[in-house]
Amino acid sequence: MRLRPCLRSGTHIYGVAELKIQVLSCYLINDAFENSFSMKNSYELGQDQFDALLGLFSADREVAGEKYEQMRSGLMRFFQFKGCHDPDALADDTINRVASKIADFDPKKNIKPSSYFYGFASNVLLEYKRTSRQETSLGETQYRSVDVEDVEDDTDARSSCLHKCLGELPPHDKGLIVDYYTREGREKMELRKQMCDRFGCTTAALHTRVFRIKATLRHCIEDCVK
Amino acid sequence: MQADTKKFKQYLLGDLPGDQTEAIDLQIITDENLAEELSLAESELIEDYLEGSLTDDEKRLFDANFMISDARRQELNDISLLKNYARDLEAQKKQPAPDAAPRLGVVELLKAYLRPLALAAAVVVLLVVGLFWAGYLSGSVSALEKEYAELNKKDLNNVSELTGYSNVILSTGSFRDANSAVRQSEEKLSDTVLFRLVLLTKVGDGSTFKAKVLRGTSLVFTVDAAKAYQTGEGRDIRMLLPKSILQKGQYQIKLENASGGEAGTFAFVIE
Repeated sequence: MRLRPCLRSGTHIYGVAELKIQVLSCYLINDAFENSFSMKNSYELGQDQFDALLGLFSADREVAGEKYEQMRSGLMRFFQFKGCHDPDALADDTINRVASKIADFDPKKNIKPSSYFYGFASNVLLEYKRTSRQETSLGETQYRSVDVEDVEDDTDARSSCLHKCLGELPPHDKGLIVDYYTREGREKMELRKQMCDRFGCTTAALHTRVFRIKATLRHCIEDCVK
Repeated sequence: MQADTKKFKQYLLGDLPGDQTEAIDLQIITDENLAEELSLAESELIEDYLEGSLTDDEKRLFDANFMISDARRQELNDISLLKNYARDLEAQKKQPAPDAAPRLGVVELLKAYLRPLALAAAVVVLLVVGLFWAGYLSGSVSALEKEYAELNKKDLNNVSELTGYSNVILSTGSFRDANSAVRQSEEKLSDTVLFRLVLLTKVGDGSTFKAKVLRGTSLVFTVDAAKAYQTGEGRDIRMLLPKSILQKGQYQIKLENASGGEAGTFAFVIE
């Protein structure tokens, strides 16, 4: 187990002072992360590096703090849509790497911060994928007998919970999500278009509503199967 | 928007040229509004998969590049359950209400009296034929099962090296009608088919399961030791099955763990 400094921030950053405190005091002890993605490097960030990192975003410290937070969210989205297990940790690792190499950044080259971060994020992603593959092939050589306790198919439980949770939705939401998933192929597209016409909303708005209902259902199902 | 969704699906499958992938990567980092459109593309991709509308190449990419996180497995399972529920509900609505019993005449009464006798005779004949047929088949099936037991001892870890096989990915679930299960075209199947049964729960690497393949309710094939493989953060059971046992119809694969306990049921339809 190692201690590593990180730029993780669990709360919204209101100002640079708070951000600094978080960076200087944040030490992540994360066994799961260490096991699933062992980092090559551990970065010790100095005050100068941290100041330079913020300077990459803006000369105005308040603006820099906001842009830092936006960048971190963007990196998390990037790793999320690449199907990574822990986008949070990978985003932090990327930022740490950028900060540790900040002296190499040449502002004269007119490189956008997003492109600069993206370069590091791509490397972090490659390492993550390589590590995942190695673990997969290593796992194959370690045959173990079946642990009966581990093998519990919870699909039937989720199915029962889905029925229960659908019953708890407002009737309009339940009708909407059931209609949404009723048909297939071309019929499905036509039905969804009709639904948009009926509700007087755009396709994007319909999808957003469905996502929200699904999120509500998922929380309810998670609570129900516990 | 549809053109964008198509492009995002290709992106999620890892099927875009490098420059276009980079452009979307950068857009994801800088534009928070893109997340919604990409989430939509993720959901549609899963629906396409469940509806059997992905091409073989897309299915391979779906398996190798997309279905690699627990979150996406969970999404696949949830959408599958919702689609099942919606279809069941629609089927129930379409079912006609049972009619009142009609009044019977003499001929109808006679027919009704004789029908049980005729039925009993037919059942006896069917049983005899069935037993004979089962006895006849058992020899050839077990030879095939032995052959595939050997094949399934092979390392099926690296899916990208198994491109010679059709790839069918199934998630668990109880499917009550043909429309709600994963569908696979018989014509597109290779002689040997790779089945991947996605497990939502953790099992030990290399754990083995007994897999029973049922067509309708009839057992047509058994794999005694189908192995679990790690995929990203999850596990799936992989096994090779002969195309010859897969004719048009509804199938289920029932998994049993070492102690004979049920570990999951996976349904699909060959069409």
